[in-house]
Amino acid sequence: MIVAGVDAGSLSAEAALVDDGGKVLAQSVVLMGGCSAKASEKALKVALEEANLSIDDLTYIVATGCGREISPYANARVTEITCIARGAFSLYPSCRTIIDIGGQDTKVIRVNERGIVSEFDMNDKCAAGTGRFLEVMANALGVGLEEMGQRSLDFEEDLQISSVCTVFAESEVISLQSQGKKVNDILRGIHKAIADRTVGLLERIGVEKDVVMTGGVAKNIGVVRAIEQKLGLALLIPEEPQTVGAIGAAHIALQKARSA
Amino acid sequence: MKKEDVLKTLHEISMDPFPYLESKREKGFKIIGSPLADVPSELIHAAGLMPVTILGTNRPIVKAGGHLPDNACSLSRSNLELVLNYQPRSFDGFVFPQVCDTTQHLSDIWKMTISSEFFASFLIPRQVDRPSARHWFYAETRRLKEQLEAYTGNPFGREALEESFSLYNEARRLLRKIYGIKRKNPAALSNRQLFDLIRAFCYMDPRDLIPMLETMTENLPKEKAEDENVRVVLSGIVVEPSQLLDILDELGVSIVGDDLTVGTRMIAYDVPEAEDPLEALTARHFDKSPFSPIRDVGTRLYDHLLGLFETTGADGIIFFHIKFCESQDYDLPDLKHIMRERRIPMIVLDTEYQSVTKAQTKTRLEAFIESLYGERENG
Ligand code: SF4
Repeated sequence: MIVAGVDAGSLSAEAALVDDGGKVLAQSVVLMGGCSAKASEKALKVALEEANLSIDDLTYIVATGCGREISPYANARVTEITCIARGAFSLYPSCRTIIDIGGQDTKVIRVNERGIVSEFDMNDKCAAGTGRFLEVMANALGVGLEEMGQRSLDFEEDLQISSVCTVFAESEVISLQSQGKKVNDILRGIHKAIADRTVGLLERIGVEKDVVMTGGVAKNIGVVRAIEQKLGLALLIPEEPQTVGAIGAAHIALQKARSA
Repeated sequence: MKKEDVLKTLHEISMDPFPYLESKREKGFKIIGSPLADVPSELIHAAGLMPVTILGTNRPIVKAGGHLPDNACSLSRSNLELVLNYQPRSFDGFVFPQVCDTTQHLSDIWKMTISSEFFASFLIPRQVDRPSARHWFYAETRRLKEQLEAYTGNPFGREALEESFSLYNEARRLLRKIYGIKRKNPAALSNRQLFDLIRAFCYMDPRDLIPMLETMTENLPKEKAEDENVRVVLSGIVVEPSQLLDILDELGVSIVGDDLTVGTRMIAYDVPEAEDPLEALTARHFDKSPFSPIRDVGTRLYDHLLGLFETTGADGIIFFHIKFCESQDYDLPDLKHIMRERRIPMIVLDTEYQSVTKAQTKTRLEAFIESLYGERENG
């Protein structure tokens, strides 16, 4: 039996195919967002191609993410909170806390020893401190999104960015630049500001080890290090942090297919 | 009237009571509005007036922002907006309870910005465990009675009061009965329908409401029929926007209890018999379960919720936090701590009157419900 999980997010869509042993056969990330049906269809198609399979080979599909309600082919729809928790727990059974920073929101999730969500919180009111925010900052500084993290590790001056509001931070960054501040230092300031906000959100639900970080922003080593420093512990980062929600959805699909 | 017609009528009144209130006015009743909570409606009713609990508006805030600080609670902002902007001529007077700092300030603002024939403040003691609190409440009740008499020009006595007591007690009894039926047989009526009835109770003359509630109790299934839904207790002051109840229905949730001010707290406590009717109103007030602004200094608020969770056998608690409610803001850290310590699943939902269709709120609720189902399946 092969099942799929599809995560239609705000900036990208992901899919994962899992066999009945829970092994991930293929996964995909497509940079098509808007929580759209098209994006989730495309992500599924790419994953199926990678595994040399067709949609008819799938026994069950679970859709998640903000586009879950309109995802085609889905047999069931489950929130991204539950899916991320399940995905992270399947990769790291020792995980008790998850930080997920995606395109447009930040989620913090606590799971119990059985992998069930026991508490969560999210910043879903604005894009402050999320992937979208990093994109805007990268643009303002003329730096590639992928190089932001690494560059920020090579800093000289400890700069403070006081706001993670996308609009205010952008003008703050521009003014720091005009004061002649170094790009790497500004980048580090940005990452620290994201870390502050994330740890503030974590405080509301409490932190228990191990802590896993998922979502596109987990690929930014600068943000990861800044959070680690604030928490005083090492984060576990999956090889492909963006597909954790899709993997979780696929695991739920497996469970649902079995009990159907 | 058939059961379906009753449900439809009461849903309409619960969403927009003003056509109904206008019809009362045409019959000669003066409409007296009171924000939450604990103004004794029976007293206003016995004065020959039409008491109405003001439950705010979901329409945009336009004028209230000019009178209140940005961090005034969503309930107060939307109450002021309703009366200032959307229903400026629907009320003849107001009895204004002061239960927290916000209502204390709002009371003054209200008096200065809204013209009405009648305005009375009703000061409610916030720490109910002090012996002086009873004397205070009794004296406030007597003062309100005198003010109402001066307004109408008609002194009223025990007979009128007892008639109003028995009408309100009967409406509450019927509502409790319906709630009980729903608890035994969650499919008997939806969560939304149950709360429509309670909201209608805030708006209607019990003389009009009682026959409708009788139709309901006669026509609802009486047999026990439990379902597979997860069972939740609702906590807080009010569920607003009320569309959140539709979401709970969609998500397959059964409400098995609540400590809401616009909920059980409103229908659970009858006026007892007593020699002195004002003493009876006082006794009822101190019988009531605590809520965020009105309580003792101890843990009664939390103990009450824990007790409710245990006796109803609920799977989890949904706490509705009104944006910027200072009273709830101070309770929440303790409440979260207590629930976490006991491993009781609870979600705190930040609510605002004006955010009617927020996909994020639905996602939060949905994720919480999924975790309750997850506990069941893997527990
Ligand atoms: S108790 Fe809370 S919701 Fe009620 S008026 Fe005061 S601040 Fe507002």
